[in-house]
Amino acid sequence: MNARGARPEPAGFIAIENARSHNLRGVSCRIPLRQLTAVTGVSGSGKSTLAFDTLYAEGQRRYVASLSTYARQFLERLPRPEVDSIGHLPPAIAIEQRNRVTNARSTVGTATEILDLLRLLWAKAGETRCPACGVAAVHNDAESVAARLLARFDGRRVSLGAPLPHGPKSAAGALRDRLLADGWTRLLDAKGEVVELGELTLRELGRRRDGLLLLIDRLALRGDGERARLVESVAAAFARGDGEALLLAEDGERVQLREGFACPGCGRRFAPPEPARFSFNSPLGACETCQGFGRVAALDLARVVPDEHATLARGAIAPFATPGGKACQRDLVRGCKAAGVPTDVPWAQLTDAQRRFVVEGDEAEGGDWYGVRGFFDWLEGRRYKVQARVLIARYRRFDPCPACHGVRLRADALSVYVGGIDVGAASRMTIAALRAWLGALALPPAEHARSGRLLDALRARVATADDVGLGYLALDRQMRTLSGGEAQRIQLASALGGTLTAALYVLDEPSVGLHARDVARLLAVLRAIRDQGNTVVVVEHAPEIVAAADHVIDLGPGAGRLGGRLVVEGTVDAVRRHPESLTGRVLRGDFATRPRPRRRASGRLRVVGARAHNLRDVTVEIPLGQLVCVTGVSGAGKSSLVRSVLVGQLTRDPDRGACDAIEGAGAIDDVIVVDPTPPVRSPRSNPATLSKAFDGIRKRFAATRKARELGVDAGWFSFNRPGGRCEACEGAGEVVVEMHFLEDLRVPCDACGGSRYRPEALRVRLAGRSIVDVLALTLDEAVVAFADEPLVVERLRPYVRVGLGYLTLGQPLSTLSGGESQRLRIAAALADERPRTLYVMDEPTTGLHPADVEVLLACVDELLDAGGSVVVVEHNLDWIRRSDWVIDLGPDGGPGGGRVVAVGTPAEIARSRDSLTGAALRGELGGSAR
Amino acid sequence: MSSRAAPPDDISPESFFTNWVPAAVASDPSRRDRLGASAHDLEFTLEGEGGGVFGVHIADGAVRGSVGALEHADLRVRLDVSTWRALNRGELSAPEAFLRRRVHLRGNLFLAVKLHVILG
Repeated sequence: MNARGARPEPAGFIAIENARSHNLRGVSCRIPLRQLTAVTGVSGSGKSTLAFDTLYAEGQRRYVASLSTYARQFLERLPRPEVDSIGHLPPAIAIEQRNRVTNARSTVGTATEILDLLRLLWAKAGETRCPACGVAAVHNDAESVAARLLARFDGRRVSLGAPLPHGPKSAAGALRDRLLADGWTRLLDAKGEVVELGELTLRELGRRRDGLLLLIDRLALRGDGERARLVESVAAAFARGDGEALLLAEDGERVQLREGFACPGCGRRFAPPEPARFSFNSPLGACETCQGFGRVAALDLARVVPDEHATLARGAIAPFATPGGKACQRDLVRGCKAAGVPTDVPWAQLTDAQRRFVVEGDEAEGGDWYGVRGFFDWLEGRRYKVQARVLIARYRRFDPCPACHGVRLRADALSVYVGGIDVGAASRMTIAALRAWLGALALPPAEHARSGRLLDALRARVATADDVGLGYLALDRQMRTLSGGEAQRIQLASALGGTLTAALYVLDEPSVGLHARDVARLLAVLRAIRDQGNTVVVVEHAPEIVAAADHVIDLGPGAGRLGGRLVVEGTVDAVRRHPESLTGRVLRGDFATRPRPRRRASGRLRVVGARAHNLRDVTVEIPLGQLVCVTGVSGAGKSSLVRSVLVGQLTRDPDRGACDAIEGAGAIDDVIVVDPTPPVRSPRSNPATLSKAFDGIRKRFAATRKARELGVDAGWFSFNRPGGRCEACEGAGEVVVEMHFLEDLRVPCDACGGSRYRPEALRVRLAGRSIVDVLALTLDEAVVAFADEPLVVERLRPYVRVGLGYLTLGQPLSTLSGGESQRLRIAAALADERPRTLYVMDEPTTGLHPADVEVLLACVDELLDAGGSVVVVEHNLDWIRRSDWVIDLGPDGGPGGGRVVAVGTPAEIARSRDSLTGAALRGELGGSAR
Repeated sequence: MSSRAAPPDDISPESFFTNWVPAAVASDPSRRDRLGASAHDLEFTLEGEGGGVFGVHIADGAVRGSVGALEHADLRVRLDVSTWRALNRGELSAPEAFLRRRVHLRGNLFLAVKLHVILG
């Protein structure tokens, strides 16, 4: 990386004029090219709209517009942003904070493209070793085989034979005729004795043909003089023997010869190494048993019989205890009666043979009972039906593949070694471990000449992935199990691994999920992308990142209608000095945080011997009635402890994470996980429908005199079903005009003018307002306007409490920012607040400005006031500092983590010398501002 | 977050409704625009020490204040003096005050939605 002072002067600016998308109110600003720009502001202020829906959308649109009309039809077309002009816009690449991967075949290795390079390395520099003999396989053609035989049998007489083609005894006549016609007259028997073909009766030839060889040649090997003849004979033997031959020396020594890539000891053939053979996504490399998934589905009897105290007659077989399973239940009872298996005895008291009868059936023995397994086999044949797939999934479990043991590759692929390990072992390593292994790898000179550049590229890519804070991830970890932040950093690693220059990278909060220790490494990566000649724009809240930016654009001052304006832009100092900028206040360090008195624990949960993923027999106490923070660097085991073990055990889904016991669980009635994934993003969903407040609003409209005259009910006012909605656009308010190779055009519906409703529906008025007027109210306004309708007020209350009162009732959820989406989920949890409930949150401060974090903390205190307990996985130091109890895991990520490093109040953690979180709380990691 | 001027901390309720509110609306074209041509009468009951009953009359984009109960009011608002002061200082948001049941409304509730246009 260049020193900052050595970088060339910025070549100019991206000039945005009058951006008006979503809530932006004519924002005009400049983004310096080849610099790092941070876009800041409270959640909902318009940051993502400016960065993604304006800047990136226009960059992408222009790029697509530059392609041929033929190519355009295959690409995603983004809508044209509402902006007067954007000048000097480079090609744009967006790195969003969303994990879109759902495919089980996509892993960290494939997504980072590290696995592609590893496959190439194994194909180019790998040594294939015979699993039986342990010796390296060699390439055998007539020339190389003859050379080895000459060296080994020099000075000796040898006979070379080829096996006779297989066939029935009755075909012996045809075989003899064909051999004689081709000029072959002599055979060899098992002892090496010559047998004249013409002297064998057809019966003898038929009986002995498998033990006989066609004699190709007999010769005395004396130096190079016989080389040409031997090469010719070996080639003839391979041709006659379908690639196989046998050499018999006069002293009885024999060598099996095989053409192609084979073991010189036992002759076992191997496929020549090629990249596809090391890919579980290729039919050539994928394990044949599991098709490259690493696991196989099996019937889960624990789910089929969830209650062992139930009898067969009383629904012990869960899939038969449903209305749809009545016929099977009758078959089961009939079959049991016929076989004498009691149906009034608890499942636990049935003998093994009786249970086997129930599961396997007796059709094989001529009976009528097809068995539970037979029922699921029948279902397998009906997978084309959704109900069948759902039923199969409900009673299925996944076991590691018995053939590949989860490696996903064929056995042949695992016979190839580089540096003493196979590609399966390499792909199970963490990125950090692979980096160390590659660093120490020394290839033999010949392989190095072939693969040196490849190895350099591989080392660089792995180092980048490690530098963006992904070192703890194993290459075989499925992408769909990663958080949005981790998925984003993988994209970042791929971007840096490339050598693209003069591009615009737009990133959404890249610091999410990063411990304070790793933020500095992330900054180094962002600067490296910038120093490659790219323009980097980050939507960011973390003060460390904002403070390190070359340029800051602060939007606000508030959210939604109260935001969308440019508060200040310029250097970090300019923002810091700005009196009205909330970001400036945070940077100045004078952002007043609400003091939060410590709460006393009302009880304790004790997790004993947690062992999920990298957890090492962790035993830890979790206080109840308090805000508990689980901290640690990425990969330390936080989510494993909280999501896999604690939630898994308390929700009776122990497969998610094993432990010996959870003591004190009787104090918890329910567990609610506040997931960080965005809620439904359909443009038809809005806060009114999500909160179900629309039910109450529609009820009020249905109670008006006009509605009664029309004879309509509350459902008539829904825009999601026929009734009062406009049928021309089916309540969407707009119609999409397919423009083929141009972007789709969305135009307001001609029939309703964009209102979504028929004129009759708009004529129904509540206190002078139509249903469309009401959907335009903010949530703040709606709780006042519907003060006498508890169904509306109570359902909107949590959304107002989490600070989303500025959203309108009818705002499509698809237009919400990441931070807003997450607060919607927290509001849903608040709507259901109950005592004796454990709320589990995974990084709830994601996407939140420090001002929004205050609102969220107040909501958490409400949950605690209601008698709940809150456990949070969090990196935000301000949040950690104000929690009641901290459990710090680590000390490092991946195999280096999984232990409890420190437990106590935030002050006690700050005093711990072993804890990286403690160091960050003391400000030693430069993260004090966060 | 609003750039509008806030009433003085020690303003009396009477002075607020009869002087400050009409003056604030008169000096702010955007508030007048949002009030439009509607005509409504609102009654505010401030409970507690220093409180009282006040009227706010909206007509033709202008606001006039009065002291005493109104015979006819489109909307009646009841709150205590400390809540009113917290709202004036920005320590409490109107929806928050309402959700905490510190503000009670009766009448045309959609008028209450416009209160922030008049009051702050």
